[in-house]
Amino acid sequence: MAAGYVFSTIGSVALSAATAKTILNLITAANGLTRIVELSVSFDGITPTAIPATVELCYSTQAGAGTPGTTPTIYQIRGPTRTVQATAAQAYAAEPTALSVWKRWLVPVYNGVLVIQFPLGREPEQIVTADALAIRVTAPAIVNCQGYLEWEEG
Amino acid sequence: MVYLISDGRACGIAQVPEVRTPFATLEEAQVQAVHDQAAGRTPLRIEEDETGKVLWDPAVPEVPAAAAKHARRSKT
Repeated sequence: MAAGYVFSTIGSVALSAATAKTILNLITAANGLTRIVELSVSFDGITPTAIPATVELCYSTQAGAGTPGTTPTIYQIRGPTRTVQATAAQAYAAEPTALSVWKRWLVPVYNGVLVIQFPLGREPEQIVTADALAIRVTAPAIVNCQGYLEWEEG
Repeated sequence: MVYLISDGRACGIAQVPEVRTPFATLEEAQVQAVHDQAAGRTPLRIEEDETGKVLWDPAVPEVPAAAAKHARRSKT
């Protein structure tokens, strides 16, 4: 049985207007495998007419490491007790490179919530050493967001 | 800090003409710009954070210094 882990943003992440920000990034360990099973992004906007934000699930080569915020805590939430292999980062001040968009969603920032669970056997996976899977958010106006990534290893 | 400015429509945000993405270095922004171009996004330019000075514009290809020197030598 695979071990399941989760990490989240540390509180809210402030988004600048029309500025892309990687809010969550999961970097695969050497010879590791990370399998995203669930992700979420939610917003605290209070303007009903606010334009939705773009949320993207991206592949990152980590050619540029970027500047992550405070390192988040990774919690194991199921499976046999194992030391997590991947590295988690959140709230980048300067973006990592280079990002390819795998999947994207428009999400209302007026109390909008996105929760995606991937079906068994169809989960996005990252198997390249030191490459990553990232959640990048771009909102047309300033707003705060929170999110989490849940994944399995092994 | 530098900003890569991209066409908002190509980024999926039709209401925003220009999307700004911060990078620590010009090289990192250029890596993403080249990558975006290949992926169908439209990088417009790279600006310096403090001054707004345009550091890179895909419409104005750079002539590497070594190549320029070689070209000058070839003429003589």
